[in-house]
Amino acid sequence: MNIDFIIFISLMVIGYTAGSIAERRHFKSLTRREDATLRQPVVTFDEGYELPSGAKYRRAALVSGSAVVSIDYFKRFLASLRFLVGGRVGAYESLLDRARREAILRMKYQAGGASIIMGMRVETSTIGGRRKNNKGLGSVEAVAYGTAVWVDEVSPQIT
Amino acid sequence: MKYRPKSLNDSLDPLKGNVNISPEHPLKELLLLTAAIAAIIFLSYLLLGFSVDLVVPHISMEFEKSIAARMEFPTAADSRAPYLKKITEELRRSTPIDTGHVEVGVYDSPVPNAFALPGGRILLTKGFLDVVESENELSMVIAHELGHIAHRDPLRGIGRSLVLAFISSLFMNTDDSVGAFINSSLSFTQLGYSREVEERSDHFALETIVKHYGHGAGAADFFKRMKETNLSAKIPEFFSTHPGEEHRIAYLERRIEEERLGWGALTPLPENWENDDD
Repeated sequence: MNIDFIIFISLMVIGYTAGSIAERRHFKSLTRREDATLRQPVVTFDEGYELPSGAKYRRAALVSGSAVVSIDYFKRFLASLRFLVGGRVGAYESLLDRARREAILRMKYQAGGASIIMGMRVETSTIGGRRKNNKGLGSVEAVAYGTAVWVDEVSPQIT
Repeated sequence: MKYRPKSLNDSLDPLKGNVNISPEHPLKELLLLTAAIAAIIFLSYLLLGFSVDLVVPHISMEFEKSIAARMEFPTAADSRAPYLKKITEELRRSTPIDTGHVEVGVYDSPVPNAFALPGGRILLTKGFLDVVESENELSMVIAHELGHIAHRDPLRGIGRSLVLAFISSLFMNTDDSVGAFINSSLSFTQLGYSREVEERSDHFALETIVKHYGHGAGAADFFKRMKETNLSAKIPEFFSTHPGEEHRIAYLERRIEEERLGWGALTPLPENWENDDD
């Protein structure tokens, strides 16, 4: 057996085990925290929103949250096989989902107690991608941002 | 309208109801992709390899020699070289297919072995010349390499290596690890091909020495010697480029018996069969 092959197999096993464990834990934590922040409203529209009667704008601020998630060796290999034949890159889908949801959660934390976050947008970019020797492991960054609005007297109609 | 926040998550299974992730298990995906890509590569290798076989007969020996002229021919000084040259010329007259002019040289290595190189060149290692015991045994090995040359095997080898290099460079661009993976699977298919070629050359060599000496004695001697001293015996035949010695000896002896090629007296090697140049 050649040594490169052994290294390759070990990296695949490490990548798969560690990657799956980290992913499962992250999804669990996302679910829990999303449920906990359920009462922080976030909307994507930024106009046509009428204040409840008697309410007054107090303050508005830009809030943002970002998260960077790295791919693991296993995912990278799976994706590079996928690049040869095309199709859905399942290995990267979960990665993006995690990054986006984590970013939105962090944005909510930054807004801490705002009445509503309006005009929310999510953007994604890759960082630390391939180096010249093709050995670089890429990471994905998701940024979520929006306008947090604090309203006096009445809270938006949330029950 | 009232805003009623409602969780979309399932508290027991965090992935349940997540529409943004393909439900396929990653290991299943890995398996399917690997199988599909291996099949594609295997097919393209077979096709390209097949086209090499088609092209090779149309390449003239002169052109092959001009390619070979750029390749190294690492010969060492050896006092046995003139004798090797003489016997190679004699054997060439008995080959079933004409080989064209052949250069023979001695390669400085203690491991008993022989090679056919592109451009009609043969190398015999010092290690081989030191262990060989009869002219028949020596002739059999030279005739085997003549067989490779007559069948243009070294040129085929270059063609196939080019195909290999081409395929792996295609995938090397995609990803290093994918390339490495593909390379190792390709070398397996190369092995099966080589064994076929070796058997064809053994057959060619046997015909040659039977015509030259009038009998088939000594044909299997070198393989027997290899089997006794063998280091390669531990490698299962499937992993080896050459057929197992056992297999080759049986093949040669069966042919000698079946075709009544006969066993005669071995021709001795010349006196002072040692290298004086050392």
